[in-house]
Amino acid sequence: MKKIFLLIATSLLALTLSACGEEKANEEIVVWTQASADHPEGKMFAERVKSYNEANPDKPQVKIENITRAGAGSGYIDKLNAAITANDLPDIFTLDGPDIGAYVDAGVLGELDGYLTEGFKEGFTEAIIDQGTVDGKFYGMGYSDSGVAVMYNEDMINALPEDVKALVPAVDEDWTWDQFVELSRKIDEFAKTTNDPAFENYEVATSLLLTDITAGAYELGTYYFTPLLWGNDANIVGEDGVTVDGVLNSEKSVEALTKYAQLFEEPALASATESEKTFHTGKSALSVSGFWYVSELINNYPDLKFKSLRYPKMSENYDGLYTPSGSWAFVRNGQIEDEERVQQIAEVMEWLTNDEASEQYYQMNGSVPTRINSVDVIDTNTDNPYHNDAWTVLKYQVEETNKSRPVSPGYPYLSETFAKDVILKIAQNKATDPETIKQYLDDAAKKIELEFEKYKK
Amino acid sequence: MKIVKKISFYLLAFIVALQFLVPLAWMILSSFKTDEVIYKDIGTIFAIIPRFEDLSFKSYTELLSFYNIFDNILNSLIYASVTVIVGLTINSLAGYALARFKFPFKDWILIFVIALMIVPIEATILPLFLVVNEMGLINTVPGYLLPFIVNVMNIFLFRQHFLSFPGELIEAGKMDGLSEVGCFFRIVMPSSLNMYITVGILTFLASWNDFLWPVMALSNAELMPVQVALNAVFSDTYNIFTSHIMAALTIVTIPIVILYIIFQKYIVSGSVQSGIK
Repeated sequence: MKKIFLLIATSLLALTLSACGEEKANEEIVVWTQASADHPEGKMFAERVKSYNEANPDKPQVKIENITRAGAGSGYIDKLNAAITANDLPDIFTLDGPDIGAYVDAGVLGELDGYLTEGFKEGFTEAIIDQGTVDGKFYGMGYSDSGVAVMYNEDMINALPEDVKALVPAVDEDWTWDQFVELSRKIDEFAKTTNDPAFENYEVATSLLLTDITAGAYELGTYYFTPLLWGNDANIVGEDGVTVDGVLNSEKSVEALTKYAQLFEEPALASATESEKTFHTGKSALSVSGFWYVSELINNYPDLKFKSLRYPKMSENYDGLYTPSGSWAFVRNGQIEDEERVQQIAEVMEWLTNDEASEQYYQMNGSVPTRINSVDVIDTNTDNPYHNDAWTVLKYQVEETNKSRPVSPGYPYLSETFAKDVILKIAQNKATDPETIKQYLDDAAKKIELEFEKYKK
Repeated sequence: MKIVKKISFYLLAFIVALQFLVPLAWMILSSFKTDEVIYKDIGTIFAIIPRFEDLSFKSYTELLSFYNIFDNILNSLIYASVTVIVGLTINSLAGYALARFKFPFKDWILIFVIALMIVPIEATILPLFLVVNEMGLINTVPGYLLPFIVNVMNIFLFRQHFLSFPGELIEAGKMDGLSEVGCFFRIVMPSSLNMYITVGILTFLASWNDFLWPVMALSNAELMPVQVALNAVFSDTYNIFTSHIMAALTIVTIPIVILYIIFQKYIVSGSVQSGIK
C-alpha cells in the first residue's frame, strides 16, 4: 500500500513538472473559435487554417483552438472572460456580432482599419460592415451572415379556398405585416371549420418560436422582431448605443408593436406557449423561421412540404434595410500593440474571411456568405424546390435588405429586456391596445436606462 | 389492513419509479427515432412505448459519423478514474487525520473545510483559472485534474466516517507491529470499503458530468472529456437534432448505469454510514 501511495504521489509530481516545462511558441498565431472541432463549422475553420499554413510556410503559422460553447455562448464566453482577466487572450477569436460593442467598450478589441488590404472591408455586405463597426471604427469581420423568412406549409395552403390562397405572395414579392396577419386570420378561420387532413394536427396559425424567449434564448426574440421597428423607422436604442428613452418607447415603436400584437387578438393567431416544433409537425400553417430551418426541415422532416416568403415589411413604401441579419465574427486581441504582429494577424483574418473563405464556408457548412462577391455561390437551382425557394428569399435579403442589429455596449441587457419585457409580455398577456404596449415599452426603457447609466460617460 | 398498506406502498413506489424511469425510457426510445417521429409522438403514449416500424439506428450512425464520441468517452473514463483513485487516497488520508490525530489548528482546519463546502464552483472558477494559468498548466491534463483531486466534501465525509471507526482495531494493528500508515492502508481502508465505493461513485459522477472546468482548462480537442464534446451536439450554431442528442445521451449514460449496477449493493450501506441521504 505504501508503494501505491508513493507511486501516485510521484506520478502527480512528474505530471505537474512535465507540464510546467511546456512553452508557448511565440511565433504562432492562435485563433479561438466557439465551434467544436468535430462540427462542420469547426472543420471548415481547420481546413481554412491548414490552407493558410500551407500557402505561407515562411510566415507565422496559425493554430486553431476550439472552445465549445453552451447555449448562447457560455462556456466559450466564460473562458474568454477569464483569459481577459489573466491577460492571456489569443491573437484572434470569434464573437457574436451584437457582442462586439461591449468588448470594444471594455477595451479588449483592436481596430482593423489601417491594417487591411485596400478595398477588403468594402467587400463585405453592408450589414456585416455595420455589425463590426463601433464609433466609426471597424473591429469585427463576419464570417457568416444569417436571415429570417416566413415559411408556409404547402399542403395547408393548397387546402385553402382560392380567395385566401390569393393572399399568399410569390417568392420574389414583398408583402406587409398587415397582409401577413390577414393571411393568418383567414387560415385560422378556415382551420376551425375544415376536415381537410392537412389541418388534422392544427394548433395555431403562425409559429413565432416565442417559447425560446421563455427558455432564456432572449436574443432570438430581438433578432426576429426588431425588424418590425426598423421597418417603421424606429429602433430599440439610439445611434449612440446608449440612449433608450424616447427611442424604444417612441410613437413609431408603439405603432409597429401594435401591429405585431394583432396576432394575439382573440382568437389568437400565435401563442407564447406553442408546442415544440409546431411548424415542423404540421401544427401551424405559417412560421417566422431562421435560415437554419431550411436544412433542418429538408433533412429531418422529409414529409413536410414547405415554401418560403420574404420577411414582411411594416409598410409597402418602406425602402430602407429591415430584415434580420448577423452572426459570429472574427476579432483581434487589442492588447497586442506590436505593429508587425498586428499586420500578420490582420492578414490571417483576411484569409479567414475573404471571398474564397466565404464560398468555402457556404459549401462546407451552409454558412450564409458575408462577401458581396460570394453571395452568388448560393445555389437556387438544385433538385430540391424547397431549398431553392428558401434560398431565393434569403439570398435576396442578404443582397438587398439585411440590416445589422444595433451596436451597444449593453446589448445583451438591451436584447434580454426587449425580448422578455416587451415581445414576450405582449404575447403572454395578449396585450393588443397601444396604451398597454406603450406602458410595457416605457417600463422597459426605464429599466434599460438605469442599467445603461454606467455607459454614459 | 396489512395488504392495503402493502399495496399502497408498492403503488407509491411504482409511481415514484415511473417519474424517474419515464424520462429515461423517452430518451432511449427517442434515440432510435427520427426528429419527425419524436415530435409527432410527444404527448402520446408512443413517446415511451415503442412502435417497432418507427425505430432505426439512423441517429446513431449519423452521430458517430460526425463525432469521435468514443475517444471523448475514453478521455472521460481516464480522467474520472484518475480523479477517483488519487482523490480517494488523498481525501481519505486528510479525513483520517482530522478524525483521529491531534495537531495544532485542527479545529480551524475543520472549520475551513466546512466553510469551503458551501462555496459554489462558479465563484472559484475564475481564481482557479488564474492560478492554473500562472502555473503554465492551462491546456494540460494535470492542469485539468489537479484542482479537483482534493475535494473538501469528500474530506468531510471521510472524517465523519472515521470518527466512528473502532479504535481497538487500530490499536490491535499497532500491537502487531504496523505503523500508523500501515494501519490506515491495511486495516482502516479495507474495513471502509462501502464508504470508499460510495465516495468513489460520487467523485466519478462529478468528474464525468463536469462541463465548465474542462472548457476553461482545456482547448485541445483531443483532450476533451465527453460532456464538452457532447455539447457540440447540443449547441450546434444552427441545427439541433433531437435524435442525435438522445443518441449521444444514451451512449453517455451507459457507463454510469453499468457502474451503478456493479456497485449498487455498496451504495446504500455506504450512504447510511456517511450520512449522505
